Order: sequence, then C-alpha cells, then structure tokens
Amino acid sequence: MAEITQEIIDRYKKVTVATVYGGVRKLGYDPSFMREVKAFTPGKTIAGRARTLRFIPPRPDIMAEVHQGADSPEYVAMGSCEPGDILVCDGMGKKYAAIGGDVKLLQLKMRGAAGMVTDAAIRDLDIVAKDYGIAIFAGDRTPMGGAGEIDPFEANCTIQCGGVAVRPGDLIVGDDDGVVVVPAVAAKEIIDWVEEHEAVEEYVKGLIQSENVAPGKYYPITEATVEQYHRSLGG
Amino acid sequence: MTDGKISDEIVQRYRNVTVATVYGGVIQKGYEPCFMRKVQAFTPGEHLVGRVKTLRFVPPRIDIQKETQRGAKSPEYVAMGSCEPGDVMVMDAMGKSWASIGGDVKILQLKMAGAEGLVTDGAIRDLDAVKEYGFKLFAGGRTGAVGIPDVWPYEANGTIQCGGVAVRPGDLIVGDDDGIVVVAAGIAEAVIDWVEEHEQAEEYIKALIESENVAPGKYYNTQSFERLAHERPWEK
Repeated sequence: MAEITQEIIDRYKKVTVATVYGGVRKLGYDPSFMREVKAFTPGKTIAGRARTLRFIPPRPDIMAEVHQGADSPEYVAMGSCEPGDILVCDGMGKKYAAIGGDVKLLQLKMRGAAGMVTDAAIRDLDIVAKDYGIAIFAGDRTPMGGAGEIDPFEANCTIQCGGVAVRPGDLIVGDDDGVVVVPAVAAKEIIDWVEEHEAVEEYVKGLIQSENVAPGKYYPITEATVEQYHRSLGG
Repeated sequence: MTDGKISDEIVQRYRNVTVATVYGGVIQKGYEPCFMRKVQAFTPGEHLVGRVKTLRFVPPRIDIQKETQRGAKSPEYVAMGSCEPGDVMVMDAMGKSWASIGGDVKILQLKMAGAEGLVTDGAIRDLDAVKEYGFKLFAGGRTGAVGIPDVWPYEANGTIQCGGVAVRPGDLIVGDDDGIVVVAAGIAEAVIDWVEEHEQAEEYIKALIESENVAPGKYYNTQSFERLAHERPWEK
C-alpha cells in the first residue's frame, strides 16, 4: 500500500474536513464520515496517519491470552504511533464504554501522537485535553472504565470506527465538523481535487456576492463553473 | 481457548438442554456477555447446536473491495466452505440489522456443506427460499436489499463479535426461540456438566413448588440449589 508522504499530510492540514469529505466521496469512497464521533477538544484539527486498535466484547479466555501487560494490544497500538500519528480505536460504537483514560493514554503523549479517535468513550477527558496536547474525537466521555463492555484485541488491523472502514496508514482528518477517513491509496488524488475545489468554492462565493444571486446559480459546482474559474485565472 | 475440538459427545449433550439454562451455566463461569442482543430465530421451533465458523464484515470501501479475493475465493465463500456437516456459520455484520449478509444463491453453499445453521446480527435476504434449505436461521432481520453499501465480507475464521458477544471458530453455539448463546470452547464441558445438573435441580424444585402450593421464591434461590447440588435427591 502507498505510504502517505509528509508533504501530502501538510497539504491536508490547510483544508477543511467538509471539503475533504467531498473529495473522498467524489472518488467513490462512501461511507467516509464517522457517525456519532465528535470533537472533544474543540478548535483542534488533525491530519495524520492512522494506527488502529480493535476492541471486542469481553471474554475471560481471550483476555487471558491477549492481555499481557505492556504487550497488550492497546499498548502495542499506541506504541506503534510515530509523532503526528492518529490512533483510531474501534469500540464497536459503544458510546458509554471507555477505551482508556489519563494513565493509559499517557503513552500517546509520550509517542507524540497528534490525536485519538474512537466511536467508544474517553475517560478523564479534562486531564487528557488539558495536559497531553492530543486532539480527541470520541463517541462520548464517561467516568466508567471499559471493563465488562470492551476489551482491546488486535493492533494495526483493518477496523471499523463510526461505521467507516479504517486501515493502518490511512489519513485521518478531523475538525469541529467531525472525522473523515482518507484511504491511503487515494490520498494524493483527493488532495489535488480538494485544493482545486476549495479555490473554486472561494471563486463562486465571490461571484454569488458580486452578482447578488442565490447560491443555486453556481452551487453545486459544475464542470462548466470549474472551466470558468480556470478562464478567470487567465488560463 | 483450548486447542482441543469440542467432542461430538459434548455437542450431543447440549441438544438435550435449553438455551436459557446454558446461559446460566456460561455466566456462572464468568463469561459475560454471552447472549446475543437483537438476534432472533427466523426458523421458530428449531433447536440449534453446533461448532462455530466465523466471517467478519467491515464497512464497504472500494480499495478493500479491489484487494479482497473475489469470486470463489472471497472471504464469504472461504468461511462457508470451511463448514463441516453440523457446523454453524456466525457472521459479524457490526449489528447492522438491515444489512444483508446474503440470500438464497450465496447461502446455497451452507446447504451444500451440510451446515447446521446460520447466525448473524445482520439480515438475511430471500429468507423464504433460504428456509427451504433446511438449516436453522437466526438473524437481526430480513431484507429485500443487498448488503452493499452497508457491509463487505472481509475475514474468514477470525475472532469476531456478533450481537455484542465475542465469538471464535470452534466455540459452541446454542439457539432456540429464546435466542442465541455462545459457549467458549474452553468451558464447553464444564458448562454442560453444570447445566445438566441444574436442569435436574430445576425440575425437582418445580415439583416441590407445585406439590406444596408455595411461591417459587421458597425454593428458587441460591441456597436451595446449593443444598440440592449436595444432596442430589433425584438420584435416590
């Protein structure tokens, strides 16, 4: 699978999640927007490579096999994060079950991760948000631990999160609108489209205001409008 | 997990007990959750018991769809093809009770494999035709629509969730009109030992309650079960 370059990641840092959503969808990737996953560190945006962690319903025999202290899948997953990476946790949409709190998530801070995304809940959010410098996107916050509800099972495999398939190495973007998954193989093509689309949108907003017309005259953007934009650049 | 396969003799013993009592035995061993939420019998009156094979679905994504083996080697056919006679196919559809995991054409493979049943937290399509195949069906729903754009078959015989319960290949599944319970392979023998004794104790208690004309609470309590387990009056 194609590795996403830092140059591409940096380009994603300059665009909105809403426009990225448009680009991902344009290339036929749907669903890409995580349902029921919200920003819990408002104003913080993320664009980074995904590392993944899959939770399953608890079972004593499985726990006995996989919960090996520092080698437990959750620590393997967090430990695989490079600076700027995003840990994405498949909590099976259990919004009331915590994937971790300030003690466990300390590892993300130590690894220099940029963010944590889950469709389950986060615990001790105030400490994590204030002191760890990590952007948090989650189904909810909770005082409860995850025991009895979810157990970490597998690091860096294909998961679902918020109803979207996510693989290690994908690009995750998030802002206060929510989280969108950009498949690694399509990351470059999508950012090319997104950058042009954002420029065309700005152009169209200018036209709508200067001509004092309803947005419907130019929006949604058609191929003809894109051509008109290019001509306006003197092309 | 035990590496040992659950024996035919143990599977057979589960055919004589109810799912509700098996549930009691499984939670008594500390395995909870074990009862599948929102998964119901679509072949009422049938009692399902069998060893598990699994299939995991993920949300659809066109790059994954391109990479996944297609045709006869697709994970769904690998999973169904791994079923031995009497096995139960369990499919993790992420709880999408409206999303089809397959209909009469795909599921034909389970009939050909001699499977005992199909369990999913997704939906079954062409259910009336699938019923004709003669195996037992438990699902989150039935549907006329196909699974795309909701689910895509991704992995055969991995660890899955279904109806909120962790399931591994080789586990035992039991189902009746009350629903589905998962028995982890490693505890299958200990659970059926407990269940058989508990059912005898329950029958004994029901007879006492009726003959003495008292409220069930007089005998339907932990102390009574403990005393009966010790005294075993039904053996006298």
